[in-house]
Formats: sequence, C-alpha cells, structure tokens
Amino acid sequence: MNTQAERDELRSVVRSFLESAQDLAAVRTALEHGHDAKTWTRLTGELGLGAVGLPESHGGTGASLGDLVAVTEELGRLLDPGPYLPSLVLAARLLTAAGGQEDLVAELAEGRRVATFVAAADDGTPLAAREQDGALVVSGVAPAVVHGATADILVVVADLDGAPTVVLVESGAPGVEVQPLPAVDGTRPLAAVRLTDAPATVVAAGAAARAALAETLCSARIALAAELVGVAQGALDLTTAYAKERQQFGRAIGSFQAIKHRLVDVMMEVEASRTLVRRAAEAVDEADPRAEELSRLCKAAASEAALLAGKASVQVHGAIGFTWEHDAHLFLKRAMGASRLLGSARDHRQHIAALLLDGHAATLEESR
Amino acid sequence: MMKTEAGEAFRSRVRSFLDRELGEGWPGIGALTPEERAVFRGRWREALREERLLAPTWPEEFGGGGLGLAEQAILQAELVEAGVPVLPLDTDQFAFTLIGPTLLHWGTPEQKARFLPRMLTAEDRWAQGYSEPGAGSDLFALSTRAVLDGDEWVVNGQKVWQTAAQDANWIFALVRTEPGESRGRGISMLLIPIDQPGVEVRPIRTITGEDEFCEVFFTDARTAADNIVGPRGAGSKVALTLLGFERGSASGALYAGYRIELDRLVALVRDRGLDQTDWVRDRIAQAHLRLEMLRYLGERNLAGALSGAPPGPESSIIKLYESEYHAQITELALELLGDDAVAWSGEPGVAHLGPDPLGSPSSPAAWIRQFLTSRAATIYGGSSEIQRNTLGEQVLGLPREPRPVQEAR
Repeated sequence: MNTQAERDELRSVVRSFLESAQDLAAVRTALEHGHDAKTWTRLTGELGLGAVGLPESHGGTGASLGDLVAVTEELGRLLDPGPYLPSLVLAARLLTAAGGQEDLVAELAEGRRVATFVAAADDGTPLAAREQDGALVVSGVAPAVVHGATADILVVVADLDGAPTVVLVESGAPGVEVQPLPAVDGTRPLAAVRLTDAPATVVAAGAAARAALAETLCSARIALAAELVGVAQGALDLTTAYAKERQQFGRAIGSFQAIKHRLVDVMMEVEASRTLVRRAAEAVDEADPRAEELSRLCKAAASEAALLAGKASVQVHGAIGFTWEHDAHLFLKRAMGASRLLGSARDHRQHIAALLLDGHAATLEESR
Repeated sequence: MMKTEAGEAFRSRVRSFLDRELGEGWPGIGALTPEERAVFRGRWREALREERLLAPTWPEEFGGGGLGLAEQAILQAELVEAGVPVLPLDTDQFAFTLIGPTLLHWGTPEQKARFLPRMLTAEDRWAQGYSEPGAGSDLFALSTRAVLDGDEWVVNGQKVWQTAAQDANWIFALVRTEPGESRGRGISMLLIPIDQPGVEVRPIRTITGEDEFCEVFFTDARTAADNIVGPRGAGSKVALTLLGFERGSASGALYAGYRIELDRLVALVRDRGLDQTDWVRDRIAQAHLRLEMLRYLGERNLAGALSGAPPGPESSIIKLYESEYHAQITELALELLGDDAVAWSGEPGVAHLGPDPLGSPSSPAAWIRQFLTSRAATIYGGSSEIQRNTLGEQVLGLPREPRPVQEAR
C-alpha cells in the first residue's frame, strides 16, 4: 500500500497527463466521436494507470483501493471520457475477485482490450443463463450499459438454475445486440445490450460469484464516488476562477456573499465527501466490516456534492453557463449520469436506513 | 482512526478511572435531577482535577496532565461516551479552551503561575468579553476603552453575550488602549476582576426562557497594569491566536456527543412507530451520513494537527458542519414529534449548548429546548455567514467585499 505522499504523486501523474493530452476541448471531441483510443492506451498502457488497484498476480501494481481512488478522482476532475470505470473498475475487478482470468485482466490493464459490466440493473441483478447443447448461453436485456458499444468483451452477471454466475461474452458473438443510447452525459456513452442465447464462458458460480460481485460493487461505488468528488472539484475550480474574474457592478462577482457562500457550500460538500471516500477506501483495504456501509455513505455524499457543484456552476456563470459552448454543462451532466450509476444517493440512504432501523444496529454499534 | 499502543494504554487508564469513579450502572449525567447534577458536577470536577485530567495538555507545573493532543482527544471521547462532562462548570470552557491556552502561549511567567492553578481550583472562574452592542461580527469595531492610570488600567464601556458571567469572577476582555490607532491595531487583551464596584453583570434572558448569558458594564473599573496579555495593541493578534488552539482535539468528543443524540432520536422514531415511514427513514439515514462526515472531518483535522501539518480549512468547515448538523437534527426531532412539538411537556433538557448528554430525557420539552439552543451555535464564535466569508476568501481565494473607504488608512 502506498503512502499519502505516493498517492499525491500518482494524482499529479494523472493530472498532468490529462491536462496535456486531453483538455476539455478534447473531451468535447469525444462527445461526437467517442473517446480517443490513443489517449486511452497511453493512459493505461504507457503510464501504467490501468494497473492501479489490481493485484500483481493480474499485472497490477497492488490491490489498493486507496491508490485507485486517487486515480479516479483525477479522471473525474477532467471528465475523462475513456472506459476506465467499466473496464478497469468494474470488469477487471470482478474478474479478479472471481478468480483466474489473469491474462484477460492484464490485457484490460494495458488498454489492449476494453470490457464492460453487464447486468439487468447496475446493482448486479442477473440476466438468465442456461445450458444449451452442452454449452452455456445467456439471454436478457441490460438497459444502460456503460461503454456498451465500445467494449469488446462483456462481463455478465447471470442466473444459472438459481445460482449467481459471472460469465464472459464476446461482444461480436452471435446473439449480442448493442444499441447506443442518447446519454445525457455525453462524456460517458451508454448502450442497451440485448443478449439472445449468446454463447458464454463461466468465470465463477455460486457463492464465489456472489462474493466477488458484492466485493466489486462495494469497491466500484467508492471509486465512482471518488470520480464524483473529482467532478465536483472540477466544477468548483471552473466556477471559482470565473467568480474571481467576472466583473459586474464594478467588482468581481466572487466578492458578493451570494456567490461566495454558494461556492463555500460546494467546497464543504466536496471536502466532506473526499474525506469519506478516503475513509471508505481505507476500510476496504483494511478489510474493515464497515466497508460496505461506508461505500454507500460515500457514494450518496459524493453524488449529491457533484450535483450541487454542477448546478452551482451553471447558475454562477449566468447565461453563458447555459450555453452549449461553455463547459459548465459538461460537469453538470457528468454529475447527472454518475450520480445515478451504481445507485443514487436515495438508493443508498435506503440501505443505510435498513441498517439503522431494521434491527441491524449491531453492525453500527461495533463500529464505534 | 489510527490506534496507537500508547493511545490505547491511555484509553484503558481513562476507563479504569471512570469505572472507579462512577461505579456499576452509571446512567449518565443526563439522568440526574437538576439538584443531583449540580452536586455531581462539583464532585466530578474534583475527581478530574485530582487525576490531572481537567487540563490534560497543560504542563504539570501548573496542575495540568502534561499529555498530548492525541491523549486529549481520547480522553474527551471517553468522557462523553461515559456520560460525564469534560469541563464540568459552565465557566470552564472559557478557562480551559480560551484564556488558559492563550496565557500558556502569550502570558508572562508571573501570569501563568498566578492564573493557571487558580483556574484548576475554580478559585478563578472566567468569562469572555469580546462582543459589544456595536461590535458583533465586526469585532474590531469595539469601543470599550482602557487608559493607564499609574499602575492600573481604568476601563469604561460595555460587553455583551457573556455566557455564564453570573458565575464568573474574572473576565478577559478586548479593549481599546491605543486611541488614534485604527481598528484592530489599537486593541489589547486585559484580564479584569469582576468582583469590584466598577463592574456590573446583568443577566439576559435567552429564547429558551433562561438567564444563561449576561451583559457586563464597566464604569471606571480597575485592573492592575500587568494584567495585559501580550503587548499593548496586540489584542487582535492575541485573540486570533486562540482560534488555533486545541485544533482537532475536540473531534472525538464532538462525534461521541452527537452519536448519543442520534441514538436517542432513533429510539424516538421507534417509540413513535415511525421506523417504517419512508420520509423518516430517508432523513434518519441522511442524519447518519452527515454525522459520519463530521466524524471523519474531525479525524482528518486531528490527524493533521498530530502530524504538524499547517491548519487547513477543516476547523472552519467543522464549525459550520457541526452547528448546522445540530440545527438540522433538532428540526427533524420536532418534525417527528409532530403536534407534541408545541408545548413544553415532559422532563426538561439538560445541556445549555450542544447535544444533551447520555441519560437525558427524550421528551418534547428536551427536544424543543435543543432546537432552540442549536440556533446559538450558528451565531456564536463567528456566525455561519462570517465563517463562509472566511472560507471563501482564505480557501477559495475569492475577493473580499470592498470596505468603506475610511478603513483603508
């Protein structure tokens, strides 16, 4: 595990690479044409950032979630449009947790292949698997798959005779239909994926699959929460800079309390969410029994922080913030998309309420 | 939070002290009657003092415990969790978190030797004299003045909002000593005895109906020339220094206190059969989330202080978070009480400021009082609006509001 100083170094590697290779103008290109494949392979392969948070057995740099959240926060800050979340956070971690698949995970880490996570809902609701002529086939609809049209391999959660199963499906296989969706957040493409008796390979089944899925979703929530913290920070930075520069009534609008206080409210939520994200990542790395609870808390917090920051950004910029040409809406829309992915703030609060009110209080009690 | 061997050894020491002093089945100070509480506070203060835990971080020569910030944080959390006060008298917070640390930093050897031990014995009980009728958020607009007359300062003016000043016999006050100097530069911090003809303390009734704070009038009041803290004219600097003291050490106590309160609120939800009501579930989960945020912000602040990192924005953020969290949670309590939130029924609440301690009643009267007292925390010690100005200017680097021209000289 890395120290905070090494993590800060990791952050600055990501930051300086993205600032030079993929500014917001480049992100805009991705709105039309998808992410730039060359930038993606440089980020993952050349800089080795695809290997962060994965175990060395799978070509990774060590299974530390604390390292991974340092990366995803920076990716969020500059609205990286690449498939880091689906391929490296969800698919690669699920394969790793399920066991085996070292070669495929290493290929994902190097950016040579792109995978995504496919389920009927992103809480891991399974599709249907069955045996057909001695082989396994999968059917069902995943209505909104992240980078569904980009991925060349699908890591699918399926139900096989009542047992949860993790399977692989090649995106070019027969029975795989991918229909791109008009995603609100253009920096993260979505597609509906329909499988009709698509041929599949089993990665894990039963209890192992269930545990791998739970572990992956827990870590992914935290990594995505970190991304949302980054999105919120990016929106806040953009807006703060504007508030310092924009003059009205003969002075910078950031000197007005109405603006200043709103930006401070955003900053407070960003700081508090970041603190919670780091604590949650630490809990996973330390196998703390509160990791699951903290993953939900930080996803709820960061989702709301990013939405708050995105909305404030449009408002404080005034009319220019309402234009397509200004970047404020890119942050707002990224927040709109990512805040719903892997469970909204409200979804997670429901889980927390069950912990607090439905007789599971012991878990919280132990945490004190 | 990261646990250390030394820290855990200290925690066991505190726990055996608590076991010894409180015995089996101690319900928390909130469960005592007001009369029992008054007696207990005195006894408890003595026990803390004898154990050298009343001023844990002060040097031993002044009666302190010679401990570090980490131990202080552990101690405070353990005390609050056990349902006993960290600072038993209402005047103690001013002695131990404000003027005491200020004297340790700025005081002369004579001042330290004279005042610090008497804070521990409560022979000297302190009030804070900052605000004035014309100087609230704009503190340095204060006009109470002191002139040197031989070997004494002669003080004239008025201070206001002195919590517990009716129990105090000393006041540390910011006064204008350098006429002609502008605003912050003309101010000094003086230590003034209250028991003298020139000082009059009048109680002020608060919105809870209690006489909890005071106004203090100085009419040719006198104090010795050497009862000045720091150099003449350095009062604003001295006053600002104390904001940096005890950074982070209260975080454990803060969390423990609010956790006890949230547990009480969850019990109220169950008692009222609201635990399957959607909006209640969402709000309780949100309260838990906000409290965990506060907890880890506090731990981060403490960790920063322990590692010697320069103070970040955490302290101001925590002040805002804490005070606004408490306002929100007491508001939720009144929503849960519904029509019962309109009359002071049931057992009265306990704490003057902050959440009611362990063992306190969960009655409408107690929650209404908490709702009302929580209004104070977003005002005192720098209002939420002032905190947001500070954060906006110092952390985000936003420009200050333009000030009137005459101040620019």
